[in-house]
Amino acid sequence: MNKNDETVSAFIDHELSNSEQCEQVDLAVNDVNYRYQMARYQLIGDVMRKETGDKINTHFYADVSAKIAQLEPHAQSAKATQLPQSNSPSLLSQWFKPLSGLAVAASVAWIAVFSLQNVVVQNGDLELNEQIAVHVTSPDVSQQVEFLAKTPVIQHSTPVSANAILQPGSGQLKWQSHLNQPVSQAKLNSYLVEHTEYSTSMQGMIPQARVAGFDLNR
Amino acid sequence: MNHNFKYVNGAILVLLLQSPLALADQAAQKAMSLIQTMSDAMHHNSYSGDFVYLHGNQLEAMTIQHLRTDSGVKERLFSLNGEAREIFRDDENLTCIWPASRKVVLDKSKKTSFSPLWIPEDVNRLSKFYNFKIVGMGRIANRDSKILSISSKDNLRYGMQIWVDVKDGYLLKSVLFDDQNKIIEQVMFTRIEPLENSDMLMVTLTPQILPEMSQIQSHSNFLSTKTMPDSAWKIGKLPAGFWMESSYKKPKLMSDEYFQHMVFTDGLASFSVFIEKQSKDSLLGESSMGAINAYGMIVNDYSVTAVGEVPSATVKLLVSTISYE
Amino acid sequence: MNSNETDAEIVKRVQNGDNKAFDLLVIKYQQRVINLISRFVSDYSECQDIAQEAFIKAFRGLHNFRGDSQFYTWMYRIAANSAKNYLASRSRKVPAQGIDAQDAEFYDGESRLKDKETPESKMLTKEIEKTVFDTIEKLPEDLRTAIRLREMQGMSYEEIAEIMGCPIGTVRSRIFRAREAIDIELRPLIE
Repeated sequence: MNKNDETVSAFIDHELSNSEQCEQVDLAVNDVNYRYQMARYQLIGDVMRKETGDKINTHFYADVSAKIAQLEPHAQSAKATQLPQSNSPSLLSQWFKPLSGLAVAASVAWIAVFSLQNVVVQNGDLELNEQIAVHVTSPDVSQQVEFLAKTPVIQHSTPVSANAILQPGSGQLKWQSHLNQPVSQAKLNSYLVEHTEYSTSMQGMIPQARVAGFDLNR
Repeated sequence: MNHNFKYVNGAILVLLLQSPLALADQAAQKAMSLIQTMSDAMHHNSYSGDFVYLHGNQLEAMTIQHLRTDSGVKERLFSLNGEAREIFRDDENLTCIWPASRKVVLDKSKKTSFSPLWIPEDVNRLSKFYNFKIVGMGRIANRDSKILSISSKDNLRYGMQIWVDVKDGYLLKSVLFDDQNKIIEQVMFTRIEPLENSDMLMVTLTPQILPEMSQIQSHSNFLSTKTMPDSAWKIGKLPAGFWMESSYKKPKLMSDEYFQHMVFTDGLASFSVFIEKQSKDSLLGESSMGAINAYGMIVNDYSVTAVGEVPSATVKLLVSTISYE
Repeated sequence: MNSNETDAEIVKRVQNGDNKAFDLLVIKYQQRVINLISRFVSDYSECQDIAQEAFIKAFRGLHNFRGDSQFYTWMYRIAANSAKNYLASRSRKVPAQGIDAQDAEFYDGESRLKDKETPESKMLTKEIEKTVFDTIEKLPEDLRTAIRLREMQGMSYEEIAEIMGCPIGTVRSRIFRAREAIDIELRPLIE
């Protein structure tokens, strides 16, 4: 595929296939007019979104490019050292990682749950005050966790269930229908967000934890 | 010894002469004081912590970073399991991001406090529907804590227990019970510690909206009007102890239509009622998600839906009595 | 291939010595970087200078970029630190409010830039904006809708196709034709 203008348009929208996108990168890198066209298309979007501020600089990237070209060879970006190997045949597999915008959240694979008031069910009997540490992997859970929240000081409470098995959540909290009728998750979730935000008695972390716990499938 | 005996006898007499109501009030006041301590700590301190949110047999692990600066509060909540989800809040903006789904929810922040528990002003009023009592001590996240019980006197609201850190006042654990004393949901910190400000932290606490993300919902809160609901709507019966705290009229996304949003509370629990034109995704009947219950019905071609952290009986009671005249 | 994958491909090329590839990243992110810096620095000329410096720092440091995060995240941090360092060097207090990426990213139409702009540059900016919006208004409705959904709602071609009830190829063509129509009007102003 060669460059044609429609392809440039699709390229900046990242709407080409992997191979097409790579090919366009090749073309763009080697053709200054291609880059100018990209810059103009980018400008159109910036203007439409009113992101350009009071003064549009139409030569910004060219200025940066010129400054980079003037850098001493040793100051320029060195050839990459050996790239991490990957078993995946994908061209970009060694780079592409499906991380969220802040890598910390998505890359955390383990949490340690230290429950200091847990009751462990062993052979059907409850044992008090044992401390258990449970490692929960995410998203692939390799262990099931038995968890009981028993608080001896509560006069009238009973444990949830002596055989309660906790499944690590997958962010798939869903509204359950009581009448076997379909429930609009999106509609109820939008109501929940509104309620969470407007209710003064639901403040802070806990209600947001509920909101963060649901799956926003449309 | 005689003097001591008199002193002890006198003290016992004072206690005996105090009415149960007075004692209950004192207990409630102590409980309120503990709640206030906890609220101040969670709002005014900067902290970071990992906590688990348990609902049913599902466990969600999350991290919270709460930073207090001279110019206000910045907070970030993100999930540690399942699809990555993040919520950013400061004094002005609320941003919810689902990076994998490329979805962003934007809103103006309505909150004036990040306290995990509302500090009720009218203790006496609350005491009609809840019992407040400090019931003991516990240890959570390697911290000693006082345990406060807030138990419901009827089946229209949930009870709860909260663990408050003795040293720093953090909320360490919170458990929500139904009227059968069955645990509905829990939040428990496994780690909580002070948070130091830094340049990188400021970057971390700022939402990053990437170009491929689409704005799935944008609440025009600045266009919402705090106003009484249309007078044609009549509420036949409020659940005992609940009153309408606020009412809004808000524009619907990408539409000329509005929906009405009423918030009801008893001072501790709350639920919302939404009224809008009937559509194919209107809720009919009951639905629930963890501690949240919803109930919906159609009244005069309008969808009336109540949603809140109250038992299903409560939302059903109110919605069932709404009429249009 | 999504945006991050394309960025990663470009980064790889730069790391392999293809400096021109870095231009593509500059083109893509220049405005956002400038807008981010403008949260700290009110003078527009200074914002641009700092943004250029930030890109050059990023270029120099790209061999250290390991792809653990997205390129823009990394670039964002460099830009933010550049702004703060600039202010610190001039003994100005860094705004306690810190960065609000939402303002830098969003379509709020507000800018805190107080620039030492010349009347000519201000006029050119207005001219460019007017040209873009006037041309859009004159577009056939299907083209106008397609480009608005793409640029202002950030929708994918697939999503736009679903909304407009047409094939993805048609969406691609409409967006291109809309851009081309605007570009024809814009080119004389820019070149």
